[in-house]
Amino acid sequence: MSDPAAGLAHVLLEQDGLLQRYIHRRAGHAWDAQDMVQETYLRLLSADPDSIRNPEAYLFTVATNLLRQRAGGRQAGGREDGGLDEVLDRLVTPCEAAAGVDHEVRSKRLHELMARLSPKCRAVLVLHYRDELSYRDIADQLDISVHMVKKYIVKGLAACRQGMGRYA
Amino acid sequence: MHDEIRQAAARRITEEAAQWLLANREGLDETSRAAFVEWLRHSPSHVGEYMAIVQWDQEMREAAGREPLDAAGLVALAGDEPAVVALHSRGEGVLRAPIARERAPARVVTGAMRGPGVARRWAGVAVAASVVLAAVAVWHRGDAPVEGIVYAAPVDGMRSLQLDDGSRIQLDRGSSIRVNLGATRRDIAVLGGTMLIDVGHDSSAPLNVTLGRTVLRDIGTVFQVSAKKDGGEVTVLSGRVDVLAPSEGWPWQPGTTRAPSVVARLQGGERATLASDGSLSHLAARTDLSQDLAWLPAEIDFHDAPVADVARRFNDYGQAPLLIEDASIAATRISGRFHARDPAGFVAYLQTLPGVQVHRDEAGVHIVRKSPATHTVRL
Repeated sequence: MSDPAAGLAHVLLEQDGLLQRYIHRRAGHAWDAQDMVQETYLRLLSADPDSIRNPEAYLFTVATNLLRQRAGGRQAGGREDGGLDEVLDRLVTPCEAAAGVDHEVRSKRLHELMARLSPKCRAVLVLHYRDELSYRDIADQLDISVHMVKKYIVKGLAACRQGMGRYA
Repeated sequence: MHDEIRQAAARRITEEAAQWLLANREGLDETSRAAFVEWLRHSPSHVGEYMAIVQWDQEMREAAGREPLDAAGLVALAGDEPAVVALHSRGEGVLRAPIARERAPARVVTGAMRGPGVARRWAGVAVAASVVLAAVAVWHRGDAPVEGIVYAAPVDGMRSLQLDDGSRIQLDRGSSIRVNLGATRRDIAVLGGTMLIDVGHDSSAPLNVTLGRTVLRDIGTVFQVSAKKDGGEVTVLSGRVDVLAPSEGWPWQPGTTRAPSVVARLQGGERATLASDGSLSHLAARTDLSQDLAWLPAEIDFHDAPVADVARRFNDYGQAPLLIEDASIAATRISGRFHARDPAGFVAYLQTLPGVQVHRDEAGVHIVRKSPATHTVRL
């Protein structure tokens, strides 16, 4: 994989097994993040689309239940969420080396990446995430449109996700 | 290239997931909810990436908390970022990025470049150029300084430029070029990454593009140049480009008058691969340029821009050229957003303008007045 930074989709496309190997080794799950995604997806396909009132909640409920079932089958008294946080952690760092770093270090690196974005993109992200300003307030402060505020957030999210892989 | 396409596809899914994240945080109405479910059902990649982006959102929140600058500091810093990049002054309100006249290390030109004139002229490219820096520098090679302006696209976005000679340039993410326009010669060096240039005709000076040790001479055309670790590639969309024999000296040395030999004459639809020593290693006809141009923005967004300028942007995509054959239509100012790779929507829009007629032939898509055209505008 020449650029492991392009997100989970890249991992799914590459099928290189880094994620699986990491999870197997570290968390001891016989079931990995990709299986979780596949199973969640299959449940989604079999459900009546109109019955899914809150799609995001649906995904995480299904994933939690699936992991709980797996954990229950593997060992009694497993974690309450079946290790969802841990698996999600792997989704966010779909690269063996990046996944190996400590959360604190990763957060620092991410901040460094944010600081390297263009000043406007950086300002939008910080005003949104740290100061929790509304899109409108951010737009007014930076003299840009609300549409551009959202675009900066989307681009910033994606760029940071891509950039994190380059640390590996 | 295959890898790049795959990465671009993955990046697109990440951005779509991020867009859905924002939409979810704002609350989905019934239509959006159905569309979101449909998007998720489209692929397991969508499901996985959405779940990842939800988690990533939290990581971003934590990382943003580390930012030492307060809101006022961030806003001030952002205010110094040019909303658009103007190169040379050619009309009202267009600011000039000065060319360094003394030897100095590269420096970054900052400063708000705003104003009605700028907004009108650059609104169409403002999105692509939203994250940009213009560096003005003097390079040294021996005792001979080489002047020029370096333009670089950020790693997280493309950049569009319009040079004073009428040339339009698109830079891929992380790409950089050095531009030196003079009365007798125009030089552009591709320092890294990929550039697509639609050569302007406002200057009669010859245009040379340098790629490593190779010099490309334009004969009025649209072409793409990519710098690679082991050489580079030149793809011609339309017109003609001469690939000159590798140069031993720095091609920008002032007073260079030598006439290097032409090693290849590329026509529209041809691509040359160059080795690191500047020699031509491969020459092939390209029947489909879509992969070569996959990095270009998927949409063309413009505001109060002349039809002629917008049509030129479509023509950068290697599709059947749009030929605006009436001066008044060419000058008509329009706003909108269209899929860049499907000009049919734009053509349909043009047809809604009063008195506009469209006909197609092997030369391209002709946009004419219903009455006989009085003037032809070359795009």
